[in-house]
Amino acid sequence: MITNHLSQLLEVPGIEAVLLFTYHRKELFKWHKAEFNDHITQEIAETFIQIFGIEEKTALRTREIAVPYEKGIVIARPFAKFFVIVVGKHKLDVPLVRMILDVAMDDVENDRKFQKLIKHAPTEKFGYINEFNLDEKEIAFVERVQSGHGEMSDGSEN
Amino acid sequence: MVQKIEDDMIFRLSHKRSPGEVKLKSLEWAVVTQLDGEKTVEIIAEILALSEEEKISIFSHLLQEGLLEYVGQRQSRSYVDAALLDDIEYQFTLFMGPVAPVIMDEILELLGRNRTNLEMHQLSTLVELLALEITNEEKQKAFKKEMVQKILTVIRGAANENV
Repeated sequence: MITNHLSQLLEVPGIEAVLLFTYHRKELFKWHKAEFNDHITQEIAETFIQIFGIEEKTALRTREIAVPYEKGIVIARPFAKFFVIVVGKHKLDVPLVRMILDVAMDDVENDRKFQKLIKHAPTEKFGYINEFNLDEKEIAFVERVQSGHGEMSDGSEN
Repeated sequence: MVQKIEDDMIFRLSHKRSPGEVKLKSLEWAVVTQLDGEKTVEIIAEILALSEEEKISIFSHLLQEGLLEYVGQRQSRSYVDAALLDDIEYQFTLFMGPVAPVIMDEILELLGRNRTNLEMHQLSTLVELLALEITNEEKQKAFKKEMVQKILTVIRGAANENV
């Protein structure tokens, strides 16, 4: 079902992995090259759950995150009940990936079977970051955000 | 012997000397980690967001220190076919009206290119920037859909040629 909508994305040279997860770590879709395993994909997903979880408590609303890493680039986009992650090599045609995501993710969201699949998925994000192994600094940061003393702003004065 | 650093040059880390033997700045280390014998100077500079000055000075220093081994130069650049650009312009005109060619030329200029020297790897950037000019969200999406198909057709064609 999801593969059909993402088939163009999987054709792009340099694509290493495409993942769809809910904010409580439920895997909705996974396609990856051999060098990725379940542990790595879960780890990547958890990283973005933390990012989007923290963001929920701030004034920021990210449309897309693109992070270069030693072997390539990771692109993530949040949606109401799930998020998509694309991992690619350095040579990845990022504007093309972005355009395909613009078109394909609409189709995914409008797919009835997919809607059924995520019907009971939570829209809340922040509550799911505490389950993970955070270090002391991260715990302190989450507590500050939770208590409203560490909120990031979008730069505008309220 | 390399005399001057050029964008098309490809290097790998020399086996003769280890980066650990040389005092390197953090950006120089970053460049060292990118050397794989495949990426060009231009691509590494893009990945690390190096300025023109940084690019030349870092690569020159690494070369001077004997850390770089010259692999070669990227093979001929491949340019976007004029017929494809005409087709893109036609599609863009359907969404933007008669002003489309002017906008397209402006964006090409922004990319430092014209209709004869747009490189293949810049095609998606051109299309993405054109799409941003279409303010109606639905129309913008329709244009992107059309263009994605065209770009993928080009990619498939190039892949078949390489087989």
